[in-house]
Amino acid sequence: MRLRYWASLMVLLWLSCLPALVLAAPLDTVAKITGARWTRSVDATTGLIKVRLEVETTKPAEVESFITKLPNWRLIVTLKGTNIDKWTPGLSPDSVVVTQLSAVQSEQNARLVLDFPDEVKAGQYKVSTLAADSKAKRPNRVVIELERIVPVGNLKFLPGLKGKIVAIDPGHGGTDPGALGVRGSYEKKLNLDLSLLAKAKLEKAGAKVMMTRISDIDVAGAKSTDREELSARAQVGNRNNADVFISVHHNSSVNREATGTTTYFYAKTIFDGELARSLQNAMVRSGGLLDKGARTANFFVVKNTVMPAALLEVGFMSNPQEEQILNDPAFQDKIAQAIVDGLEQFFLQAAKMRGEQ
Amino acid sequence: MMCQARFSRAILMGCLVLTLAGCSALTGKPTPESQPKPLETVTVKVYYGAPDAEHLAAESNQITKDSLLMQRAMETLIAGPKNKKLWPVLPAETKVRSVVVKDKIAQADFSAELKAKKSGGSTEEILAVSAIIYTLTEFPEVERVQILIEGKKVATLYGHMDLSEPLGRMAGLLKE
Ligand SMILES: [Zn+2]
Repeated sequence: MRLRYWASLMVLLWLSCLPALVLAAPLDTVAKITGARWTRSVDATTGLIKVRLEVETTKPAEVESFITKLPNWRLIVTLKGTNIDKWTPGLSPDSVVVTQLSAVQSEQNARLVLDFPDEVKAGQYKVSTLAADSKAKRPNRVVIELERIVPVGNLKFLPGLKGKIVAIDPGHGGTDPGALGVRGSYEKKLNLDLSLLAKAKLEKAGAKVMMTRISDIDVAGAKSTDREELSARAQVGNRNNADVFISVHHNSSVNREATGTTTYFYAKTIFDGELARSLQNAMVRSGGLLDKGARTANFFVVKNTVMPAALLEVGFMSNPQEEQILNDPAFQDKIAQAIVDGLEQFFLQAAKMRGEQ
Repeated sequence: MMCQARFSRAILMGCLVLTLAGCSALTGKPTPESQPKPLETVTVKVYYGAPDAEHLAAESNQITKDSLLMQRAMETLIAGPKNKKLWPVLPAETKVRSVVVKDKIAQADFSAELKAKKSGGSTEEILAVSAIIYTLTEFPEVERVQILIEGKKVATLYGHMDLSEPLGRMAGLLKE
């Protein structure tokens, strides 16, 4: 009787331990991603942009990588026997080099996918591993190094807003209403209101502001073609030798939950990305909406202007809560101030890049 | 199956193995399922708005394989997705006038309804344009796409994108 009691107790104990043993084994041997660090550098004389991503893991990971052309140019890096765990990849620090980083768990392996804007050749990327360094207090790392050359242009900037020529383009207008908000606001009006607020603040800071429109009109006339209309806007920057060109827009999506601030640019020169990032960071910092990053896009006015240019998408009018925020005068004032702060930051940064400061 | 009664066991086994090819070769009489289909179809990936309406998501469609294949792919895109979680990205009333490929560039010509909505947000414009580009560049003979409306080049769709030149796939539109 006593023996049977002990025997059954042992069996019970053993059974209760079993799941724990089974679960503990793989968890213990699997490496986990704990975080990642991006670094970025620009050589303003050669236009070489370097981006380095260090993915930190709890154990050394065996790594495999390859480039694929479809569905678009991307680098796939597989960390064998590695769990993504709670880690989520952040925004790329330079969308000219990497447009998007995503991570998926594929059975035992963590797969990192880096999207490129276009073709990447063998010499433009390198994947390696670094062992944990207890002195430097750094964990095991997978290092992905990427580079791309962007035209430099013969542009030079001095810090400060005083004397700068800023072209501001309130998007749409006249016969073109732009996007329509769920609660009935017009993009063309939100764009103009914000642009006029930014104009006043920039002038106060000593800049000269050239506007593509200051009322509800088509810049090239109501009967103009799309090309004439968009060219007329770019020309306001080009003809006035503006230092920078800023197009002000508000976004819309069929998905009413879509939210956040985005700044678009076209990498004509190394300064376009710098301008977009400065404005994006300033808007997110003071406006507080979701940071969707500075992104490259084949947009007409930023592509067809000769100076660094950015197109702001402040927020989504298709999102009922966000539409309300976008219409709030206090919010508009913050974003107008963010445009001033972002430009101040850009000119400082651009001057540093060219050694003018 | 017709062949079962008339043939030996060995041939029956063969029949079973060859079910896909059909037993017609053995009986000399075509079975209904082995009849050559009147039109050959091909699986084509068509891209729509993903549930977040910011990325693209593909759906596979059986499309008749003839000289109008790419035009039909565009019509399938306009018709909208089967999956209710995906978003249609082009106005439903748009007609496809033609799709012609020359030098790896597809010229996709749409009716004026493509711009039925005079304007929209950047996100909507990027999604609509890239759905056209991604779907047509699924065909190996297409690298870039020039969008035309009523036979003419257009500067833009909703006032942000520059469509004057043929465009290839822009990255960052697929969620892994
Ligand atoms: Zn707009």
